[in-house]
Amino acid sequence: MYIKDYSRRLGAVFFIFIFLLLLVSARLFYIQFFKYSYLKNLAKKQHEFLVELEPRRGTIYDRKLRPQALNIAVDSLFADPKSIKNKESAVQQLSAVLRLDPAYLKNRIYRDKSFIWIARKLGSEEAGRVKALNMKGLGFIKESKRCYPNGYLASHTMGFVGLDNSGLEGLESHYEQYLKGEPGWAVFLRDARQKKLDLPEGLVLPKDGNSLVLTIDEVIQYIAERELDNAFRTFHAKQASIIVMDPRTGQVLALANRPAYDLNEAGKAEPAVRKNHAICDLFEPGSVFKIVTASAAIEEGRVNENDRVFCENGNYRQSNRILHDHTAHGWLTFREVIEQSSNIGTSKVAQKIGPDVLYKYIKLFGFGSSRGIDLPGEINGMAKPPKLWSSTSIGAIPMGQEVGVTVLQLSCAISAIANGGLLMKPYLVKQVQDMNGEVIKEFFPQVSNKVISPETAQRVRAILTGVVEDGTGKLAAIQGVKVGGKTGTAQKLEPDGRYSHNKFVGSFIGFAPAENPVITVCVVLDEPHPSYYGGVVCAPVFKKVVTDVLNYLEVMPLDKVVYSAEMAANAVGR
Amino acid sequence: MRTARVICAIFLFTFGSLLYVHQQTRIVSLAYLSGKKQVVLKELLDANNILRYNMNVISSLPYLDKKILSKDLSFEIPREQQLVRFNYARQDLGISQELKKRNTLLGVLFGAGKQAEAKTLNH
Repeated sequence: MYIKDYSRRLGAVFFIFIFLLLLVSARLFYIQFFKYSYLKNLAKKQHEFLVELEPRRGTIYDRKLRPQALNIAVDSLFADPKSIKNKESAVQQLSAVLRLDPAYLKNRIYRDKSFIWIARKLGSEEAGRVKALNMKGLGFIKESKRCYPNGYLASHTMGFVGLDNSGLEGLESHYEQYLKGEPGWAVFLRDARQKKLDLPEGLVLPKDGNSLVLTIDEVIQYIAERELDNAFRTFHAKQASIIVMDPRTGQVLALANRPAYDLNEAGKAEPAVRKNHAICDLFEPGSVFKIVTASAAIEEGRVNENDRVFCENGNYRQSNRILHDHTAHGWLTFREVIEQSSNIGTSKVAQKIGPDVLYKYIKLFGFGSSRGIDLPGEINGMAKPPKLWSSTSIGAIPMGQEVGVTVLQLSCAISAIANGGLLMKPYLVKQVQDMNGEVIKEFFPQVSNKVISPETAQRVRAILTGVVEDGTGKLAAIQGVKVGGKTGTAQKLEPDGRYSHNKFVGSFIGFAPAENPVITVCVVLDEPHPSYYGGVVCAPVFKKVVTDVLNYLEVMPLDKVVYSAEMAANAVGR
Repeated sequence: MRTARVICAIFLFTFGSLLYVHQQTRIVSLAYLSGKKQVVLKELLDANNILRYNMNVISSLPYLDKKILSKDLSFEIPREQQLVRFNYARQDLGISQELKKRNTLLGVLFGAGKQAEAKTLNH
């Protein structure tokens, strides 16, 4: 009986175990075959995490490989509001250390979140002060910050980037595809405490952005900005622009505007200050436009330098408008018409050329269409076709009224005269280099138009040299170097359509050395006062810029500079 | 005999397992160590970059312009076409003095003559 009971019990236990084993097996089978992928993913999520590897944005260099924009790693401060026990104290301390509005901090720290940005891309001192607080619930993440070692220098050309390091303005925006690079990723393991182990399971390295080598020269840019700034302040101008160009290639050596802004604090600058006036604003150029009329007249053989023109003693009725000259002139040669910037003489020469031919040269010089510079926001300017001209247009357009030009277009036009008659496409980037310094793309000079013959260009250059030697541009003359140029003073249009009597745009365009020009400079000052003549406010800027740039380029050797005994006596012993 | 084999097999299996676990823990601890060193290295590299950037800023033309033209420096910008003479203090030419000493010593020991030495043009 006992043995029978025993074997029955044993059988029952056996079956129970077998049943349990079957249950476990069934559960295992279910887990292995039906829940496999779900559980595997769950485990993977706990042990692995994906990290996006940020690429380094490409550096921007000047033409001599001096860095103009580069990246440094800085701390960004975040908070885990749930871990902060005394939130009021945290707000007060952070507000004092970071000089942030307490209301802003309160709004962030009192949120029901486990991650929130407090301040991104902090300076090392600020980050150090926050670290010294040793506050629980605060943390730092390294982020790449775009920095500009030269601050305001070439600010309108360089542009800037946003918080996410994508280009928003200038070259930073135009060459975004080259500069930004491609992000990589890595899968790292982490332990039970969610701490990262430096064991990447999978890794795709980020591709750093390419670097740009500009045509801009830092030193020339500095010289141009220094002198422009000086004139801008001296003559209380509303705004000012300057472009220094190599006429042989169309390479822009310097481009600047005033007012300017510090690229490292671009967010604080007003949008109007960030505007690149040299390419985004049009204005009536005034007498500097006479280079077009002069070139057209000589190229078409309608006039030569010694032909005499009667300048009506300063008053000339044309249709229903009376033209005036700044100084009354009688008979002048064509050379003198340009040298003395006679409106009446220029208008009479333009009538010999006719509207269609004049318009042809306006277009050939690149007015009325964008010059295609590698910057965003360039405008076309305004040059209306002859069918839209009024009866007075033939008197106004040759002297730079009824046309709208940009500083860049003027710069290209004077470069065409300086280089022998070729309109070059202006450009700012010479090369794109990869992270190893290998050149992956190169930009070469491009001819847009053949405007005038080399002989005509030579003759116009001779006339423009006369402008500086004997005409309205005497303040641009440089001792020891022959230079040429043209002054311009344009009345601005009032909102009612009349020309203003107290608002002017002063300008000067020129080239140096006159025999074989290596640079052209275009200076424009908007609403300068009390002086406003281009020959007074802009020509000295040209002179100072050209003197320093030619010295820097070693075009004007020191032996050409005349030292007097008095100067030697004043030598600074240092 | 069979028991001995089983024990031996269990021993080998355990030993193998321990070896596997040991190397896994070593890998993990090395990963921790590497992580720490990576952080230090990254901080040093970042500090180096910041230092280079600061050097760029300090040597930039706008910064120098601001510093030189500020009133606290008694620096005078030469006027146009004004001659500027640079005076070098003899004692500042440390390397040159050192070379002189060496030449003298060599001369004494081996009777060798002095080497030609470049002189500053304006001195």
